[in-house]
Amino acid sequence: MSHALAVTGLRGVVTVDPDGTQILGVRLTAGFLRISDAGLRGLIPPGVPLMGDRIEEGRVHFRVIYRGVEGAVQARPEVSPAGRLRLEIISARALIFPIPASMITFLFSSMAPDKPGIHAGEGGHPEIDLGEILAPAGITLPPLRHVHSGRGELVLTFSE
Amino acid sequence: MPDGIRINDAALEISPAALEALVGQKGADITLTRLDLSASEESLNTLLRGITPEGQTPPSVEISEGRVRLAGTKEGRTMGIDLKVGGLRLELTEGGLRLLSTGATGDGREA
Repeated sequence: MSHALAVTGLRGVVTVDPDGTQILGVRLTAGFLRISDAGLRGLIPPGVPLMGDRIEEGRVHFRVIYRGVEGAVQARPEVSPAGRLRLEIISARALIFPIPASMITFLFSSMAPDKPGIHAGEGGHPEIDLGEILAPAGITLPPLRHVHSGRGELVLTFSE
Repeated sequence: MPDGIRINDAALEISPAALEALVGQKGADITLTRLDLSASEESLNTLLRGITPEGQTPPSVEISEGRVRLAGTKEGRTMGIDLKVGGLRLELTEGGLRLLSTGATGDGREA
């Protein structure tokens, strides 16, 4: 798998202004987004204290650095009621010491970066809204309907 | 242009290096691996109006079953091309692009 991201089954409409002089945007109605381990590592922008590591069956692994101490966090990918990708923190550790997941969600909700599409959702768990991230490029996404994580790949299903 | 250009099916890939550039807002390099688009007659005419230099009359396109009629005016002369070919296919060749007719013609042969 050499790609970071692969999009398949893409459906939608490219809208052009009535003069035909410019593309106004792309309104997508359906599609599958496949994120590889490399994609997970590359997707989160610099400045966010959460780094993608790898994807396994039902789990996504992240690394966090807090005050110079590196930790490992496991999250279960889910769909939030708002159609966002919710990363339910299920375990964490710093070096060999386990940390309560509630401490990670507290830290994330109090330090959630002010970046479009990255939110502290219910209970402080990270939520990613890809629609918000793509909106400045004129791309409108339908809600996230389903998420599946297998070994080395996270598959997100979007549809109206 | 209510329907614009419709994406019926498309697929694309982004490499790790391209994703890094995209996230860092340094550019975008996307590989399309599948493309199925459709555009209405109205959409095509709108696009033709958009690319025609100001002051010139834009060409027009009419699509009816199995044929496409292109019409344009330059210096008072009207030109028309009636493509009665059923279909067109764009192929990538070693020398460049190749556009060929594919549909059944009036004599029933592949054009």
